Amino acid sequence: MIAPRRYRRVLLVLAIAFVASFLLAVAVGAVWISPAAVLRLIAWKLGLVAYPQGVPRSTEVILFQLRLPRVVLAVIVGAALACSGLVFQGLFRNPLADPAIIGVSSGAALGAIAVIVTLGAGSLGAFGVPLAAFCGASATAFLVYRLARIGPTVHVATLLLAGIAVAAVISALMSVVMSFSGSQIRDIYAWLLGGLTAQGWPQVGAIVPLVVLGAAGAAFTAHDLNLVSLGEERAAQLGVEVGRLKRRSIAIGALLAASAVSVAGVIGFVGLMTPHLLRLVVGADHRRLLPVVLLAGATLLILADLVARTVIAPQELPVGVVTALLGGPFFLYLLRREGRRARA
Amino acid sequence: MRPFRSLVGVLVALLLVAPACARSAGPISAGTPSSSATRAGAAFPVTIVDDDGVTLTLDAPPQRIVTFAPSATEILFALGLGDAIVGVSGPYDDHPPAAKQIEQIGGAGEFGVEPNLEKVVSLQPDLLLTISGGDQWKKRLRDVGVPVFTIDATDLEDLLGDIGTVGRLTGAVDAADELVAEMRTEDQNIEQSVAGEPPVTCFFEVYYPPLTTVGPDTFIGDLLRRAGCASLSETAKSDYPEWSVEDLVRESPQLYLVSSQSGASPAAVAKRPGFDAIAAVADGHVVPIDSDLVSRPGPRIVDGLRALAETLHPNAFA
Amino acid sequence: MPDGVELLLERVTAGYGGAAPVVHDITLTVAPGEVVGLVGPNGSGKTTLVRVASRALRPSSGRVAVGGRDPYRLPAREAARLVAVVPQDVAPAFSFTALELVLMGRTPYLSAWGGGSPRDWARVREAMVAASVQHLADRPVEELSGGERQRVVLAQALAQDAPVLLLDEPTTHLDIRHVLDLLAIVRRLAEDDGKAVLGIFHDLNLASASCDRLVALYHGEVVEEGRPERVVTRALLRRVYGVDADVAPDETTGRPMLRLGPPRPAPASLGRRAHVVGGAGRGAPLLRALTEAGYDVSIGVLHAADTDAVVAERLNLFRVSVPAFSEIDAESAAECARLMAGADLLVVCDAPYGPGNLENLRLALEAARAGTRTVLLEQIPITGRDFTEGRATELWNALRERAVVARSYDEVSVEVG
Repeated sequence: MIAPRRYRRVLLVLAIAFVASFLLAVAVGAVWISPAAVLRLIAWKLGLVAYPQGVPRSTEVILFQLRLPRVVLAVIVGAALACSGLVFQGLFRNPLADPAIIGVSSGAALGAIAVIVTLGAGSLGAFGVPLAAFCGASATAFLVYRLARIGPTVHVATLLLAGIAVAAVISALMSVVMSFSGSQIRDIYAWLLGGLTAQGWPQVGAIVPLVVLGAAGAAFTAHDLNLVSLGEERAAQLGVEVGRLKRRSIAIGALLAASAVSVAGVIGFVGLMTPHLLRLVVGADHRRLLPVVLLAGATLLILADLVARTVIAPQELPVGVVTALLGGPFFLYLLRREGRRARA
Repeated sequence: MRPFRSLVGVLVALLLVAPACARSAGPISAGTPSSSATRAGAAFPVTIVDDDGVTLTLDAPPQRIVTFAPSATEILFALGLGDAIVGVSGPYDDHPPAAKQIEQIGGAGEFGVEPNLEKVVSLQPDLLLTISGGDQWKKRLRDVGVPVFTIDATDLEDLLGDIGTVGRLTGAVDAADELVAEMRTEDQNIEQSVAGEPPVTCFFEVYYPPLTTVGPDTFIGDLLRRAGCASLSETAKSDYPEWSVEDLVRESPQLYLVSSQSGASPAAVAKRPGFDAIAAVADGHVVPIDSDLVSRPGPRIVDGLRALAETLHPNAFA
Repeated sequence: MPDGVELLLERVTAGYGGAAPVVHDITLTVAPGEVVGLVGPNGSGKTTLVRVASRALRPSSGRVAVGGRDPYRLPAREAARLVAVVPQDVAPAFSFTALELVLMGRTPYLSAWGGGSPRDWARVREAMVAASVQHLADRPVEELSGGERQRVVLAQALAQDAPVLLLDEPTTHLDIRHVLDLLAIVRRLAEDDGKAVLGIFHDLNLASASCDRLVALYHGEVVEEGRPERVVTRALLRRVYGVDADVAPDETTGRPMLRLGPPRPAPASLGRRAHVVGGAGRGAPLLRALTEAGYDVSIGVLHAADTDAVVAERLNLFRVSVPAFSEIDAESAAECARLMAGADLLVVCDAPYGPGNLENLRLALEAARAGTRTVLLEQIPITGRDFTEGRATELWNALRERAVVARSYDEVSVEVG
């Protein structure tokens, strides 16, 4: 068990990193807004001070309407993906599980591109595409769950295989839909690569309650997830209602992943890397992992998004590309580490 | 439990800020008074529905305009409003030369075809004039208080109407009417000149490979018709169809037009497999066409029309 | 902790789907304070039965009661306060320390978040001390040896404070000291704390030594149950395990113990019968050899203290015997004659013959004359063995004419096949 003092230190470091990244991300853009200006503007917005001198109104609009929603969205999406990954890794008893594991990303993609192709990307306000993505994600998760349910029990191994199979089928369907896409192919591609561009407060407002709900649910199942890592039968012997736990974990993980993917497209590796890494630092106790995973996931995505929108400015890299470029070498590093340990 | 609670505290703090931000601070334009004379013929406030179906109301003539299409830039300059332009889309805004000096706000988004929203907002425009496409960023800009107006010319007549609309929108009504009259006269002249001539079979190449041409409902399709070209692609069903080379050879048009977008030289065209069987190629009637003139729906479109007409019917303009 | 909870399995039939159930119509009780051992060969249904008792496998018929309540009707948390399982091994997917693992044993008493009260921590400490793993508290469990891990698992189950304890081969990885420690713990839990303990044992000696009662399973049914003396017998070993082994009561405890030697599987009977006339140890080597060759062997008439009689008893062979130093009575003689007549093979050994066993030679001669195939072992000539003033020699020589004479045990083997 990690010493409480060390855990507090890790938490403090992460909190500082989070705040620093947040301020940095909010400062950087077409217009540099210093952290001091940010704080003064926020104070003004809360009605505490008068409008700060020397700050153009346009800067205030940029901050509150363009930059802040984007960074806040990165926080929510990053935290959601990381938490989803944590729950799935616990449920599958496998540190390589990922939010996409039960086909949530594929389902979201199918829903999104179906709407883009039939109704266009900017239709139904800002909500048509994310709503369709959320429905697609949830429907897929439910389908995979039902496929894996044999009698009263859900077999975790079958869940994994069903997720793979369903994702493959959906991928094929997506290709068919895209062949009818014509001029929207760019909108589709942009969505698939994942990004936080052109997202505003409505998107944030839509997913914040869902993510908060999911994170709270994860907190409730944290202890049971510890137990289930001993094996389902052993957990049952110790007093866990395993069937109920599995249903809850799938629902929570899918809710978090669907919320994230519906507004940000497919962003990989955050859900996989964050819990995996932090487990090496603070141990496997899910109750301790949960807060640090939320913080780390948020920080990671803030920074990834910052890189995505500055490295080839004014053009943007899709955020999913940045996380993949981080995640690939990370995997290789892990492989080598495990290989060395196995030989030792 | 304590670390979790502190995290919840952070999240709650964030959430407190969020709803406050949802309230907009109001319009962002600084509203400096216009340096140029009040535009002649103005009637403000004006309410117009744009080609995206969005209704826009301006209370006063816009003083700080951002364009996100080279054609829009050209139209505004032609209306004498070049001084009011504070932002253009990018390096393609090259006509007139003065446009090259204006701040560029494009190249953003994942494919580099979107405007940099923060830059746009920092320029404090009171109007953004653009063409169709980009529904998502247009909505974002409207949400942050930048009025967006879309013009989407489908043919020459529609373009003339759009120019008139821009005139009403910017208060330069007289200038717009004058420009439209000029363009219409020029168009009528050209069409009369070629009226008596027998139609020439032609083919307009937009891109190769794959061999892409223009459909009848496109702007260029309209121009080709007016210039007296019997385009092979009149029967096409879509706007930028792929054409079969075999069909091209079978029909063997008399004139082969290559858009500068495709960029192929007449020599390169002649070298393509099967192309030397085409009459136009065999007779050396492969003509490059400056796509800026024919595909930018702006004031210079009549120059493009003239270029096309002269290529098709040189005798009529001798 | 409720005291005196009984585990009852009544007419339980259970399986994993498929044509036949794994366990059939089993009734089993474990009273509080009792240690019951479940024995039987692989595949006999022991693990299945324990799974039924631990709420992991619902029986297709019959009932399970823990303290009179059906665990399958209770929420998992409540059932876990009644029944604790010590599994063979625990391999967690993620790395936890021994202390974290033992604390998990307190789950039925912890809050949803998993927070522990001072009492929970006290019980965890006590459980770890009882299982001798308190010094391993902060070690990650995958770094522990098999035996250490097994003791941590035991501590986890002890921390559960359940009145019924189920053990699944708890001694597999343990060295002898820890085996004895574990058994001592188990006995203490039963005797002092009044727990009802049911354990699966592969080691019959351990089972016999530590359990109050044993239940032997074979092909999913109970074939024997009761005190160890009753269950651990040669007959059961042969029938259920297919092993022929010596079983004798331990001098100190009186519990039946297997005497270990090279495994001698019970030979498949060829249906042929052989009768041996022996005495003074001359027949002993043949008894074993003939049995292994597949013969159903009988021996007689023997005197009680004779060496051959002891060996015959150990091999559990049919024998006709008379008390030491007495004459062969008519009844025994008649029985022996019958055996000889019905035998496919008669072997007469070069034992010393005196008035007490002279009758054997007469019976053998009669059988040989009647046609029973006879082999004479004559490693030692008759002259040194005749204590009947020539009468034995007479009979012996008569036998020689009607039998195959073998000069050594090897020759007998050759002759017999």
